[in-house]
Amino acid sequence: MQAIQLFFLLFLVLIYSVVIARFTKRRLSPRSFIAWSALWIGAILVSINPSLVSYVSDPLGVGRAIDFVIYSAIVLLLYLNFKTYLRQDALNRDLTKVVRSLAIREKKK
Amino acid sequence: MRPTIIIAAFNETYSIKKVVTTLRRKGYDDIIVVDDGSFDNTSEQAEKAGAIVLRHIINRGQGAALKTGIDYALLKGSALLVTFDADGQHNANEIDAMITPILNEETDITLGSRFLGRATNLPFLKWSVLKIGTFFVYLLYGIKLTDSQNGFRALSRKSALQIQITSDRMEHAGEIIGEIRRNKLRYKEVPVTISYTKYSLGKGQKASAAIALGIRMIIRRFIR
Repeated sequence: MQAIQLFFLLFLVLIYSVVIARFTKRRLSPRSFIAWSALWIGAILVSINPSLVSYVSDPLGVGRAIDFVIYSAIVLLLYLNFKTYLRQDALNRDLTKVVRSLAIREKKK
Repeated sequence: MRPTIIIAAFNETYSIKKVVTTLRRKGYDDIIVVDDGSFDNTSEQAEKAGAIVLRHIINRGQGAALKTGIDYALLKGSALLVTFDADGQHNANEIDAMITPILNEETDITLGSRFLGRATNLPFLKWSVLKIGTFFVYLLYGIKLTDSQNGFRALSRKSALQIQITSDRMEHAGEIIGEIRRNKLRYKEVPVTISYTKYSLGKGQKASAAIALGIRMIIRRFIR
């Protein structure tokens, strides 16, 4: 195993342990836990044996496995970005509800 | 029936007194001004001119302020609501034309249109953006209008109760159209005059903000 593989492996295991810890403390929903587990365990397995990626990338017709990893990472990042935007939007609207409530309450006094 | 005039205002200390005073002089004395977190004297000026003033402690956007005003008006039992701009672009003489179709029960909501009416000093860029915006609203909600971004509207109590505005910022204009469609409300465009001045143009939306606005409108259309 190359040094960089070991480095990544340790890093990924560390991240995943945080995921597990969060879940056991109930700060993560079962749904999220399964989704994140799939991601991090997948990443751990790939760091141990990088050629595993070809099992997914070859049927899809992607030339180099590493290209597939990068494409997937980009898609994942875009998705997470969008979810963050939605969450912020919901937060903004909740904030407005509070500000509105204050405005009307002040008037009712 | 006495209409309640609802005005959303953000840093309009320069124009709000004149707008409220003019309205009162024409006999409209039920005026709600929602101060959307201004850091100037907008609240004091509006109150001195005789309006009921509600104040957002922080700026949330015109859509948010309008909804606050509408909610409060409905709370107070208002049966007829008119939304009106704070910057002097709208003409108080045209309120009558806006509310008559509702009082005659011809329609549930009237929408002011500067393209059916008049828009003095309208810069080409703004004209283009408005036209594109209106067309965009048509694409998203299927309702063809001549002016979807006009803040001059009149609503019956029934429509005001049914229309849910969840957008904080300028995308609320499109959302209102969407709500009209969702609730199958009758609507009618009424010609109005929009008077642009250097002051009001300076306060308007920048053309560059249009793209972000467009994206927010798309998202709002599918996620509420």
